[in-house]
Amino acid sequence: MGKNKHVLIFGEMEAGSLSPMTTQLLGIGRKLAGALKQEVHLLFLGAKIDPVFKTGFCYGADKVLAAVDPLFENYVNDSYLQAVTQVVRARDPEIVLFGQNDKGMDLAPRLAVRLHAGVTLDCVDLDIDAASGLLKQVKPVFGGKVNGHYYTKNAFPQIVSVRDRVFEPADHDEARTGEVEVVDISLDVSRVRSRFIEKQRDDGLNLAQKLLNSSVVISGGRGLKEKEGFEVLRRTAELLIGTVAGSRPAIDYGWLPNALQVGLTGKKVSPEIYFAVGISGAIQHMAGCLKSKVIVAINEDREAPIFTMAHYGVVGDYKEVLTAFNDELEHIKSGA
Amino acid sequence: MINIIVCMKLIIDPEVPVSVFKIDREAKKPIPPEGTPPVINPFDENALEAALKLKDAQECKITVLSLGRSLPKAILQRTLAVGADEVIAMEGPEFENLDPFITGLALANAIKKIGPYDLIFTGRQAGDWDAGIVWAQIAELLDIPSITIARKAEVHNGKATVERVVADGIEILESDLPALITFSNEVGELRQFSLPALVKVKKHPIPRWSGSDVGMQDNSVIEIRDFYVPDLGGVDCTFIDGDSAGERGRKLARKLNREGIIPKEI
Repeated sequence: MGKNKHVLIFGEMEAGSLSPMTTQLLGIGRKLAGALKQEVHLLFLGAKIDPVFKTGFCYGADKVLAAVDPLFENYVNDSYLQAVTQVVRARDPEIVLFGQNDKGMDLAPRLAVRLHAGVTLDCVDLDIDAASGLLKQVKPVFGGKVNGHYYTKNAFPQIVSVRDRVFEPADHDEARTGEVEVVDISLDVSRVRSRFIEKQRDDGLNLAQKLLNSSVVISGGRGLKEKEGFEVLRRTAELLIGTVAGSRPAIDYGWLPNALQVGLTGKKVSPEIYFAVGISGAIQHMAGCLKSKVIVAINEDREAPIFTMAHYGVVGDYKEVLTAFNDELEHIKSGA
Repeated sequence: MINIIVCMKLIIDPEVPVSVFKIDREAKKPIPPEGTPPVINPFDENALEAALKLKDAQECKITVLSLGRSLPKAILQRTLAVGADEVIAMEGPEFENLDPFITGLALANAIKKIGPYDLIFTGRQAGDWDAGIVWAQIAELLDIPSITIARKAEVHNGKATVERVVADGIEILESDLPALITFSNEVGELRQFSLPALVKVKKHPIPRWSGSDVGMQDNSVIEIRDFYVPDLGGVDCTFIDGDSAGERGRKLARKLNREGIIPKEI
């Protein structure tokens, strides 16, 4: 291992600042780099150097790199992959971190294959194995029924994507600063065989995005018994500035749109508080919410498996429990 | 005529309850539950449906390429009955529980063996190991452009127009052909077949290819060192007591507030 080894992070911007995923990658990246006594480098691709790139220093990056080309205005695999491959080849990082999102899932595997390196997507824990110095990559498989610990078979760099919200964001220190380093890349335009045409916003997908970003999720399941049952959950969501979601039966019965399904075949969420209302706790559902900080279960059945996975449990009729919960919450919020 | 190859994996039914799902921790693989037949990876069904939608609109030939230890004929015939033109079975013990890098190489070699193609469709990932790597291995080995997590693909003037699902909407992309596209559940479910259609395909020949037919080799670069069922329970649930459901609800609000679970800014 050469002495320039470092942890390289694929950085992304969102709404004029570093994306939350990027600050989380910097959080875990610092920890891994600390264990390896290496630096953390943060890479941005863009049509121009954005002043916000510099905030990467405040979140703990030792170097902030920028690859600049008009083609990077919009994401296309062929152009982004060329640039990231060149940067990784030239700089030889020990570990490359991506977010498990539409870019990371698209870039990381092809980058790995191109470099004959290993790759593990959707990691929920990362650590440096003390004996070997290798990256331990923990990935849930079989719908969260099993965890696998993945390691490289001597193929570097170690490339992973990381699930959103499982790692704490890096500490922010306004005083940390530095100069953004522009990295040399040369794009072969004849090898850019796909093009961005346009972007269309979609309400249904916005719904999903809001769900993924919510710090409070109130989910209803089969136990709600009727579509109207969601009314009381919606009021809880309003009071806690959260999002209503559902388990698969709630979607299958047509109580909620597809975009709001939490679980194995739906969205994977990890909010601060997850309310599971009338949800028994089948693994297919829990695969989508087990990473929540606090799980609150409300269920009529004291023996429901959800109570072995929830931090707080209330046994009883969900309408009565939640109506009283909402009233009391309103009372507390009013400062009385 | 547009030639589409759809890659299809059969997996342990992801809906099997935990109680019948067992693993071999030493071998680091699941033990297929008895009496529960494998199913087509749901995302691969989406990929096949996307191909069929394209065929509804334009002249296409769809070849399904399936790989696994054992590929039940009934499942392969079902893909023909819904509208695929050919199905090829890469079947045998050598195809069991493969690492995604080996799988991708075998599929890429098989695709070269099939001959000219315009589009390769796969699921975004398989619902068993959830690796999400095989598509990349295929595209890279064939040196073709790729677009992932699509909900729709069309072909106009020799180029593919693809709707890619991203966090806050849809991106419309255009790609030269040939190209590889991965699909997600936004495509919609695979269509049903009719009984007459199934009867019609009963005698359709299904070529069987072995590992040596597709130049399989161990090119794996990752290994699993531990494989275990995480302890999902074990959380000490604090039950909220009270004489009535309403009282328990009120106490829950006070407790979550007092313990700072409900953020102060809310």
